[in-house]
Amino acid sequence: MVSPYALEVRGLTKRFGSFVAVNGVSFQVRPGEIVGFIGPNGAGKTTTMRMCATLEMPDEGDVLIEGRSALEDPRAARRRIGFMPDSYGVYPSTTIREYLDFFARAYGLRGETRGRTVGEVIEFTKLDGLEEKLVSVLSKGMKQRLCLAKTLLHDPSVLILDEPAAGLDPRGRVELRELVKALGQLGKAVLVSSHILTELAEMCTSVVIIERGELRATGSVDEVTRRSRKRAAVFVRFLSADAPQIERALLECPGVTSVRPERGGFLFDCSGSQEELAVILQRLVDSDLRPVEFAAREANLEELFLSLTEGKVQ
Amino acid sequence: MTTTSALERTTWDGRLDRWSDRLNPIVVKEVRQALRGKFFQWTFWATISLASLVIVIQLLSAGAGGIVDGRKLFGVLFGCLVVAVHGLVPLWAYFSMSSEWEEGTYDLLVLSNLRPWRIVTGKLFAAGVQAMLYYTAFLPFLAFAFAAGGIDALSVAFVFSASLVFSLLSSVIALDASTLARQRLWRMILLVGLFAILSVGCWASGFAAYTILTEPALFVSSEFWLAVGAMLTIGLTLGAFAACLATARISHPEENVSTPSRVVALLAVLGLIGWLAFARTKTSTDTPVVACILSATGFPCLFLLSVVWTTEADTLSRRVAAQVPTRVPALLVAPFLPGGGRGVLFSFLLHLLLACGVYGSVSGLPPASVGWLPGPDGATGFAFALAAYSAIYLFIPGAIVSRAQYAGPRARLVARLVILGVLAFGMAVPTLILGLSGSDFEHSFRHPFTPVEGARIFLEQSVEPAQRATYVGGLALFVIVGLFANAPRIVRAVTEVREAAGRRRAQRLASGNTTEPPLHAAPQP
Repeated sequence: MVSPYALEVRGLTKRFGSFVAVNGVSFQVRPGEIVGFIGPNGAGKTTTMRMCATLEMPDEGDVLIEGRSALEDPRAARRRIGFMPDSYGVYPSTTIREYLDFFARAYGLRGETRGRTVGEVIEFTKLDGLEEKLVSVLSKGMKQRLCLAKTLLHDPSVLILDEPAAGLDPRGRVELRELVKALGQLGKAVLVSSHILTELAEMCTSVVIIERGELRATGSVDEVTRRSRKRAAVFVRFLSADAPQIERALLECPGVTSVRPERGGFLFDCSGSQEELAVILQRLVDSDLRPVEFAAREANLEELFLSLTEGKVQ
Repeated sequence: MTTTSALERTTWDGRLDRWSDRLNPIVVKEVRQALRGKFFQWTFWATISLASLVIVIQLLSAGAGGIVDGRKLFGVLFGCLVVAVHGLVPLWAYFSMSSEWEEGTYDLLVLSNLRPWRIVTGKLFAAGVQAMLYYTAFLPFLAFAFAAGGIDALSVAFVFSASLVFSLLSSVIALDASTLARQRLWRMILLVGLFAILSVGCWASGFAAYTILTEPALFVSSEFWLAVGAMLTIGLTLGAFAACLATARISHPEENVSTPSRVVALLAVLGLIGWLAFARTKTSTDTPVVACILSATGFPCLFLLSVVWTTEADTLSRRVAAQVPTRVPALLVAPFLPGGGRGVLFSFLLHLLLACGVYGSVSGLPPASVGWLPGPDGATGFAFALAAYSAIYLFIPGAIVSRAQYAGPRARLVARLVILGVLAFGMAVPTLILGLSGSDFEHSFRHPFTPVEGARIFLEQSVEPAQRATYVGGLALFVIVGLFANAPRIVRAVTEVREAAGRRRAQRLASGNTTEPPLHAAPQP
C-alpha cells in the first residue's frame, strides 16, 4: 500500500545517556505540505530533524520516507531526502558551479543530465551569473541559497530545512520564503524549522510544536489554534481614558479573568462563547466608557507557540 | 575554422565529461582543492626549491673537476622527496578528512549517494595523485643525479615503487586517524601523534631507500625478497584494516561495518598461511622459526580484532537483517555478519584456521638442526598454545560481560576494556606476586596465566612430555569452558541469521519475486 505521507515520524526517541532529547515524537508530512517545526532552543528540533535525515540513530521509533523505513534502508531514504543543516558546510576554494557539480556527481548524476540539473538549480535559487564565483567570497544569503541548491540537486521528495533563515537579512528571508513556497507548490514535502515565527506563519501550511523533546501540538495553524484555545482574547478600545475604571469594569464582566493594556486599548480573556461576548459588549455599551472597537482576536503563530510552550529548556 | 574548432572542442569536452563520470567525484574535488589550497602550494614549491638548492650546492662543491657523486646526490634528493610523499602527503590526507568536520561538509557528504568506502578511497587516491605530482616534479632532479652515475636502474625503480606503496599506506593510516575524533582538541592531539609516527616513517623509509640504493647486491638475495614480501603483506593488511576502520566510522550505524574487517582478517590469515607454505619451499629448516614469528605476531593481532568482533551488539540491525543472503546456509553466513555471538564463532574459527595452517606448513619437516631452535612440534605447540590463550582470555570474560553489550557504544567500550583488563590482570598480578615472593625475573613469568609460560612449555626442549600433556589438557579444558559459556550467544546468533533469511525468503515469495533482491539499488539519475 502506498503511504499518503512523504515523511512519517513514528514515536521517535533519542537519549544521550540519561538525558532524553526526544521522547516519542510522531507526526506526518504530506507531499506539497510545508510544515513548520517549532520549539524553543534545546527542544529537540535539530535532533529530530537529524534523525529524519538518517544522520542520527533513534533509540526507539522509526522514520518512514514514502512509506519505507529509513532505518531499514538508509541509503534509499537518503536518495529521497534533501537535508539542509543549520550549520551547512561549503568548500571555500571551489566555485559555485564546481561545488554543485561535485555534489551532482556524488548523487550519481551523469553526463548531460548533470549539467542540465546544475543549471536548473542555479536558476531556481537565483544564483545565475555567479557560477564562477568562489564560494569563499559569497555572502551568508548566497551561501544559504547555494546550500539549498545543493539540497535540490537529486530532486528529493522530502526537504528537511533546519533554520534556513538564520542570519539572513530581511530581503534574504523574503527570497528564501518564496523559494520554500515554490518548493511546496512543486509537490515537495517540506519540514522547516525556524525561530522567526512570522516567517513560518507566512509559508507553512501546518506546524509541529515541540518542547523538552515532547510533542505539544501538530496540525494546521487554525486546527492547532482551535484545539489549544481554551479562552479567547478580545481587544477593546474606549474613548474614555480612565484606565483603572476600564479595567475594573472589564473584570466585573462575566467570564473575564484578566485584562491588560495593549496598543491604546485593552486585551481581555474570556471563554469566547458568542453569548458571553454579547453580554460583555452590551455591558460595555451601557457603561459610560464609550467603546469604539471590540474584536475577538485571531491567535497568531507566535501567541500559539507561547501559549503551548512553557519556555523551559532541558 | 572557428565553427570546426568549436565543434571539435565540444566533442572533446563531451568525451572528457563522459570519462570523468567514471571517476570517483571525491578524487576530482580533492585534487582540485589541493591544487588551489595553500598547504599544497607552499609545501610543493618549498620542496622543489630545496631540491634545486641541493643540486646547486652539489654543482658548486663538485670543484674544478666537475665530478658529482651521483649516488650521494640521488640519496639526498630522494630524502627531500621522502619528506614530501611520506610526510606531507599523508598529513594533507589527514587535514582533508578532518576539514570535512571542520567545514561542516561531512553531513552533506555522507547524505549523498557516495558510499563511505568511496569517500575513503577517493581521498586516498587524491593523496596518490599528489604523491605522483611530487614524483613527476622531482623527476628532472633525480634524472640529473642518475646521469651522474653510481646507481642502477633496478634500485631506482624499486625504491620508487616501494615509496609509492609506503606513501599510500601512510595516507590511509592518516585518514583512519582523522576519523577517530570529531572534536578539535582530540584532532589536535591525534595530529601530534600522527606527526611523530610520520616522522619515524620518513626516517625509516629514507634509511631503507639509502641502504637499497647503496647495496645493489641485496636484489639477488632470496632473504631480501622474502622480507619484502612479508613487509608488503603486513603493509597491505594494515592498510586494508585502516581503510575498513575509517569506512566503518563514517558509515551509518545501521550499516554492516563488521563484515569487511572480518573478510580482510580472513584474507590476512590465508595470506599468512600461504606465506608459510612459500617459506617452506624456500627454506625448509627455518620454516618452524618463521612459523613461530608469524604466530607471535598473528595471534595477538587476532586477539585485538576479536575483542572488537566479540563485543559488538548481538542483535542484527534492521538494515543488516534486510540484507542477509538467503541462498547460503545460515551457519556459513553467520560468522561473517556483525554481532558479538557471531564474532565469538568467527574468532574461534579464525584462531583454529591459523593454528591448523601453522601445523600444516611445518608438519613432516625434520627436527631443528640447532638445538635451541624450535622444531616442527615446538612450532605447532607454540601456535596452538597462543591460540588457546587468546581464546580463553576472549571467551571467558567475554561471556561474563556480554550482557552489557546491548546498552550502547559506551557499554561496548567498557566490555572491551574489561577483556583487555582481565588479560593484563591475569598476566601481571601472578607475575608480581611471584616477583615479590622472591622469584627471579625470569621465573616470575612462569605461571600458567601467561602465554609466555605456554610458549616456554612448547619451545623448551627440557620440558617433560607429561608436563606438556598436562598443559595441553588444561588449555583445552579452559577453551571448552569458554566456548560453552558462549554457546547460548552463538546459538542465538545463528538462529537470528536463519530467521532473518527465512523472513526475506517469505517476503520474496509473497511479492512473487524469486530472484535475490539487490543489496544496493542503482543510483537514480
